[in-house]
Amino acid sequence: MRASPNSWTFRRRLVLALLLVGSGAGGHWVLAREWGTGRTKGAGGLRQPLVGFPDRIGDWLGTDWPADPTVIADIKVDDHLQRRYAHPSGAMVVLWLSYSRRAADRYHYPTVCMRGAGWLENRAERRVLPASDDSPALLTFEFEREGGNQAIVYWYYILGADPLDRWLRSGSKWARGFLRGATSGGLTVEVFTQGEPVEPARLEEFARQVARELEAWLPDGTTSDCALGAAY
Amino acid sequence: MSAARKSRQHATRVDLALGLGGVAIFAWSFGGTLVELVRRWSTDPNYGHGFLVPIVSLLIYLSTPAAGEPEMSRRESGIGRALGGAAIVVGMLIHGFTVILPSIFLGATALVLVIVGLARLLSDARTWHRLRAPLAFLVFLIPWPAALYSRIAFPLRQLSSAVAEVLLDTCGVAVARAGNLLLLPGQEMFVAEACSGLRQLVAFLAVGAAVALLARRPLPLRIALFLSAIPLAVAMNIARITLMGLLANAGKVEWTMGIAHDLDGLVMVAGGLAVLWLEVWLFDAIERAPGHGPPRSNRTALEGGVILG
Repeated sequence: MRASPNSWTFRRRLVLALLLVGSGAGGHWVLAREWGTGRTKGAGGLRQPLVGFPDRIGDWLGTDWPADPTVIADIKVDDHLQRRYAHPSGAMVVLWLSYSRRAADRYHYPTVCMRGAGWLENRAERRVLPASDDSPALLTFEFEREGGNQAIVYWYYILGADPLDRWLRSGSKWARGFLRGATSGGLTVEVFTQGEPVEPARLEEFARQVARELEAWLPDGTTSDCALGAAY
Repeated sequence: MSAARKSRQHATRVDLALGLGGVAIFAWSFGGTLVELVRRWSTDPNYGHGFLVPIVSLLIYLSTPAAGEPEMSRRESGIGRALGGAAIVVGMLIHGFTVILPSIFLGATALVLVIVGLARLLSDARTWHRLRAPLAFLVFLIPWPAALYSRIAFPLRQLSSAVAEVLLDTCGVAVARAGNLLLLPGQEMFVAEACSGLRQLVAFLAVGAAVALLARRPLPLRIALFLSAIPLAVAMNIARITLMGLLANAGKVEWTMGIAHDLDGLVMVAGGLAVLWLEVWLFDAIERAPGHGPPRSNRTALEGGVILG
């Protein structure tokens, strides 16, 4: 005995659907087991909270400068630090560190945020300072507004990225855009001058000292970059 | 009990068991994607409307007439089901790819594709006709890719700030702008990322699509309704920022913060809905005018108040 032709046809389609979904689900499970589900969890975490970052960097002495809570809520970072550092010579800089488990920190970088605040970049002054033995490559900017100038040193770290992430990141900016907020953690570092201009060599030296100190916060396998933003 | 009836019951039980098995496999495989989607809807204000998408889909389904659609030929039906199967295959491939590239955009796209494919493969022609519009609406479950979102948010924010500055100036407020910073007498108003208008744009596109799908009007009008959600969202957000500026200038700074700030977003969505309703009303008024032929008989879920009542 058999069911009516329509019912059998429906059954056949049902079995086909079950096979398609079931084999796809099985393939997904095998892949996830092979590649590790940790990839989906944004596994790259800092070794310790940023609040413990030294308030003395060489000759520079730092004082916490709490950021506006509305701005912090807006940029969706998981940890941050904003601190003013003063040099005995009178030079003053602001250090900004922002960490995100899902690399959401990298949406905010100088050419976006400074333009948003009404500053115009002097493109001729943009320079990449090459990596040294104990410091990553750094990107410097200069912005102008109403006669005032501000120099910025910018770089970031990618935490918890595996070789596949690195390969994807080496692709197009769209591939990087898809990765942002999906896989690895991120730590953005920005050093801003404040008030009087700071001698470029002194600013660079401070930034490299910050990079050296940050080593104690970064997990193994961390990579760094200073290319503008993951999504642009 | 007759043998035939027993056989039918047995066949139904087998189909039910297969169906439940399929649902279990689907839930097991897409559970992570669903949890991530719910997390996104709960925590990202840009996608708070996600919870409403399945409900609106159901409303669209219920408002779609069950009968009166033409039957498909056997060949059309076969092609349709083959496409359904293909959608499942593509969806599952994308789902597998999310292990390598864990993006919620890809995960949700795979989820919707598989749901649509299953519906097409398993439903008969009449049911499929009822399911098409509600299934199409499920596209609003999918969060935008981060790269696209970022690319739209920044210029939108600049545009909103610039136009709000002009409007405030026109209203007699002494205002200057530095990027996204509006400088009013004695205070500053920062147009944050959340005020870019993208939240309104995402929500208005969903609302525009729902209205277009529910309004049983000619296709060009439906498309126009949907597309009009874009300028509407931008205009509503600019109006919102301008209103905030006017309130701040009048010394009512507290009205521009906290719950009041969030509520005005809801008011803007309600305002946008009213404008969409006005568009439908205007179309009907033009159509009813002399020289535009007899009125259409099959009026709408909109007039029944499903959405706008």
